[in-house]
Amino acid sequence: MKKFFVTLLALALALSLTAVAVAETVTLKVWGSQEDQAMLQEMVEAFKAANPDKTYDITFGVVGEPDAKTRYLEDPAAAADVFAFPNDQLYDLLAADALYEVTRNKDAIVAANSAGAIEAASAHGQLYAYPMTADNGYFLYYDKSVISEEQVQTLDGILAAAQAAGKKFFMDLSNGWYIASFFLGAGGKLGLDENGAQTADFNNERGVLAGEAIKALAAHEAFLTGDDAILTGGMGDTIAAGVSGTWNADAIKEKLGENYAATKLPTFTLGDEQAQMGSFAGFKLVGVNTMTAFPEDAMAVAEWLTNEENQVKRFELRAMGPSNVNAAASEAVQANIALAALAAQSQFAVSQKDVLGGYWTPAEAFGATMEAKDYTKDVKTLLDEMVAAITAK
Amino acid sequence: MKQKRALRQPHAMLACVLGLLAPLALLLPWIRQGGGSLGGLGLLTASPQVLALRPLAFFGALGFLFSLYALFSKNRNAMRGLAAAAAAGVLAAVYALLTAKATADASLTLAEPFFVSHLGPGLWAFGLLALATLVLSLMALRQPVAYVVLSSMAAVWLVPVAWLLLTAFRQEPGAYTPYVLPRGYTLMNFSRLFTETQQFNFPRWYMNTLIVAVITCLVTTTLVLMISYAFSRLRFPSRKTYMNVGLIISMFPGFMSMIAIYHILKAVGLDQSLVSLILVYSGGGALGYFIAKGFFDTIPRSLDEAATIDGASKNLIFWKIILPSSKPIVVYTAITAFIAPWVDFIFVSVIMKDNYQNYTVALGLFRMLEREHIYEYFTRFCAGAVLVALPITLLFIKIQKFYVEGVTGGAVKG
Amino acid sequence: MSGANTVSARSGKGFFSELAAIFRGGDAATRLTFLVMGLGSLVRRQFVKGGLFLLSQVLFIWYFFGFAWQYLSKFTTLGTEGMRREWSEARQIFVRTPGDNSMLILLFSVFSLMLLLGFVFLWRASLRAAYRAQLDARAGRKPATFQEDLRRLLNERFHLSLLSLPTLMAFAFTILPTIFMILIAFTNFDANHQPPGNLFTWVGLTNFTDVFWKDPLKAGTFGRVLGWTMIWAVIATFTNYLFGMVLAIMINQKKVRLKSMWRTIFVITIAIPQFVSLMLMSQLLHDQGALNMLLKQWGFVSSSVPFLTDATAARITILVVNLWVGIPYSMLITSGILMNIPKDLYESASIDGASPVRMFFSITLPYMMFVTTPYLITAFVGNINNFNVIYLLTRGGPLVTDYYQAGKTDLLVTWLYKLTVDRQNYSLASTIGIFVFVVSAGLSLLVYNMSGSARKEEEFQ
Repeated sequence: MKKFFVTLLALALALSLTAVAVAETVTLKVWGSQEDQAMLQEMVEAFKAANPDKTYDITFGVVGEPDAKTRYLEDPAAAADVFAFPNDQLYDLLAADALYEVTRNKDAIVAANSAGAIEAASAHGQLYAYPMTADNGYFLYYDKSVISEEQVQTLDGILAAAQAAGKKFFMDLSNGWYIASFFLGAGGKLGLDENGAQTADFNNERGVLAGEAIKALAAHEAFLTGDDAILTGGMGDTIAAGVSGTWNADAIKEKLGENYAATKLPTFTLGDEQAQMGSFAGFKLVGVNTMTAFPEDAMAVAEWLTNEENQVKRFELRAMGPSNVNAAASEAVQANIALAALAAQSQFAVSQKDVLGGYWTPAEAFGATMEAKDYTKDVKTLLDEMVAAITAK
Repeated sequence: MKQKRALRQPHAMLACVLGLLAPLALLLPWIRQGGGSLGGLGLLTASPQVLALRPLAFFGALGFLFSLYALFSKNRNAMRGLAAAAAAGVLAAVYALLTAKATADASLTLAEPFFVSHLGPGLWAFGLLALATLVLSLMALRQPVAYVVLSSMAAVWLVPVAWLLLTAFRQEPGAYTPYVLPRGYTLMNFSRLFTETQQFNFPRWYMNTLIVAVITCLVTTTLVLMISYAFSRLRFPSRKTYMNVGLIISMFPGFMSMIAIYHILKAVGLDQSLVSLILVYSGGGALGYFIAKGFFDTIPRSLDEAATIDGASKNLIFWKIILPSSKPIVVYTAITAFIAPWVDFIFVSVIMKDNYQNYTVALGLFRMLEREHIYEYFTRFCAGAVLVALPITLLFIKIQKFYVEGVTGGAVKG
Repeated sequence: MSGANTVSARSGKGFFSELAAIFRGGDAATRLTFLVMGLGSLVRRQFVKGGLFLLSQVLFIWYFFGFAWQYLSKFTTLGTEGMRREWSEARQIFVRTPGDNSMLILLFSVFSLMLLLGFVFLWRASLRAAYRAQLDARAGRKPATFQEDLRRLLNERFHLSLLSLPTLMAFAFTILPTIFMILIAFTNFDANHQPPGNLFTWVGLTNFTDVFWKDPLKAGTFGRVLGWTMIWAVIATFTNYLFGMVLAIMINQKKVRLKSMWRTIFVITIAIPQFVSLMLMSQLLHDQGALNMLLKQWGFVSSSVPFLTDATAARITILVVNLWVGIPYSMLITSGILMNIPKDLYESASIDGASPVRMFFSITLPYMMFVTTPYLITAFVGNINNFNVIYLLTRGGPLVTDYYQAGKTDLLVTWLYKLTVDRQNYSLASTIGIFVFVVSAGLSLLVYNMSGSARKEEEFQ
């Protein structure tokens, strides 16, 4: 009903104003997580200063990237005009036609960002969002005093070194995101068929070998699972190495002190060969809401927030890894241990874009079964069930 | 003067006998080691101490003496002493059990649990005898045995609370530590909640929640009383149907309803406001009227009838008769309603969306558990939880007087 | 719906026959009230009442055509045109033109229909008022003044004053959303039909056939999750109730001192927000958690107890933790009622030499069952829908590969939450919701209407 009143009022206003030409104020809302608010404001002030010919009224709302999709779908009309989200939400947002295609300055944006980032922000041959960071992936943290640079190359070496020191190797196997590294390392593929439905081949011959490797790891005495809290709590004390992402870098650095080290994921024993563990490469993107009243201006803001200068700023203030090629090549970024490890891992990483929502629960179920050492069904059967559940409509 | 009550005899005798027997358990084997086993007496004199036996032996001996004394004097004070010694003996046995492995060999890693493979029957015998002595001496004293059950239950209930407090004062950050007791203590977790408001505006959210909770509490209680009175005391057409609908209507589970409510509130311009929270929580709480209605049903109808004959209207009867006899249910309703805004974190996130200033404390605290924050903020999360629990606990302590004062009293018999 | 019964039962006639009778018996003013609400009252000089009726009619018509019609007219299709997308060479963007939003059409259609229903009853009330005023005038009585009407609202019609506000709130915050959700089960609202970009529409019973038998994966999961939900709800409800009552009785014993201290100890756990205590519990009970650490340190176990990661262990753990969470509540409610048991019942029983145990079974328990049946129902249904304990402790895990998006401790309600939030499968979630609703509502009505509380509500005094 309020809408109705407002419409009436707006109509009346519009009629009365047609005679008088007034400079239009561009009203926009930007979403970002709370810790980014100050930084965002700074960036937007700079944007306004760079565009003095227009009047902007830009407000901010607190919605972190992980919540963007949920909050958007609840009420697209009230959602921000410009918002950041992780790239695994892209397809769900596109299903709601939530994002404007990036059509203005497209070539410059494509050229400025890494190919992986552009690929992650694209679908059906269209670019749908502006890459913001390239750090939403995982790699290996380890304690230099326990594991040597040589041992850290293989999973077996890490486990042996940890066990010898009475410590553990940490990996959250009951989590679809992490456990995929084995299947991806074995050459497994998650894709989409022509109807846009999920396909998966994790139950083929090599997939089963990867499953056996997971089983062996879960049963290993030096293996430890749990959530991030276990890793950050135990690193240095009871844990010698663990798989995680940049968001834990500060905590782990604090715990390990000068023994802090990070590198790409190790190789693992797949049948009788050594295979490099794969991973998902995740990016954070900035999108422009299709419900916005000022698409061109919103796009300008989105582009501004993700340009080279601001990606550098993001790295300096918040240690977020840039997707911008120039920013990523800077010495400061290269010197960051966690980001360097992520970059090393990225050549073995695949885009997370073709992974639909149905993948996570079954994959986690397989991991949980292995962690619980519940061997009532063999690995092949479990993987068949997992793939059936992943591909279920 | 208070009349001195006699001891209950058979129980007193039995308690004394068991009290005499308990220390004899020291003669049994206590620890098995390498084929042989060690008796309690041997362990007592062993140096260094292999088992925390000294307090246990002390209280056992004390119980022995009190038993002897009570056996001959039939004195209440002797029996009291025996009860106390037995209680201490039980605690000492538990302490010995828990520290057994640590004192015996901290680094012992065994295929079988330590207390299966290494603990002899001595400790068990002593513990059980002390417990039986305690129970019997309480019975002899005509004191409720419930104390034993209540104390052990209280311990179980308080452990997580103690853990919360410890974490709230813990110096080291992180959600998980590979040790149980904190290595350092600090008040910073509390003070930083109020000084570092850039990321989590705790004081503001606390005030929001307090305002919402107080108003919700008043509105809900009023609504519940209105509805319950109508259904319990008034007779009108289709009352039954109405009640049945009221009973089941809130049973549909679903999270889309929150989105629907959000859009309705938005249509009337109340979205993202504290008022909308109050409306939503009160509306939800009011549907819990069934308990209050059941309670009203037990207030004698004869009181109403007498008042009606005196010319009181239905309205007056509610204020003069029903309400004064309903303190327990009013308190119950009020507490339930007051708590709701402090604990909900899902509904409030749907309604508030990006309006950070209007978050409630529960949503704010929940945000601290996100993976980017949990390491740095977990101890502050616990500190915040303590601050939330505090007013509710105080409220309850304050209000118990009414709660316990009881109800209709003599008026019931009408 | 309930409103309809209220009024028709009073007159003892059907809705239409009553209106027909008013039309037949009515004079010109009363008959004109069919078109202009409040007219009959205004003519009899009931200005406030008549004015209010008239005002409500004006407001409603304004609302209906100004706002409701744009949604109601599309109710049958839930919209025909999604968001349009056109390339604009000048602006260099794909210009969007917003289309229909199926979700808002559905929601505001339901809203408007309910408002329409309310309006019909208001309209009938105006007719009745007009007719009554006419009869009063004919019989030579003075039609009731506004003050008299108000006074009646405090006595004979007190129920109207008491119940109208709560009813209004229930309609807005419970009934309307419920109908909305029920209707979603008959649509294809899911991740691929997501407004505002896409439309969703009516699909009949497809969702029901899918989840109940056609799709073996979903049907199998549904059956097993339902089974555990029922086991959980029964055990959780009765253990909590029984232990809570025993605890209350223990504390209420005459000789027990420091009653309020005991109560406070247990109530502290209520004061701590559930998500906090449950978070801590899951930390404590984790494979590497403090409890396992202590158990190993004490030598009770040699390897971690899988409190939350083994299916059976997790189920037991959850039931036990639920005791920790729930007993203080049931202690609170039962001790309030225990104190309300007439003391003379016990006095006469103890004169007859009954033992405490006998008294518990012959006096306490029957009385408690009588008074607390509603509480038990609420608790049972609350347990069927116990989201917090399950979701915060295990998130439904341990997950297994042969369940569809669910784990071994998932209740229907947590499964439904995951389907809604993680998968955006709103229609499937609503279908399950309907099932849960039918079960809990049916059970509650049955138990409640057969229980002593309902049958003997007039007698137990």
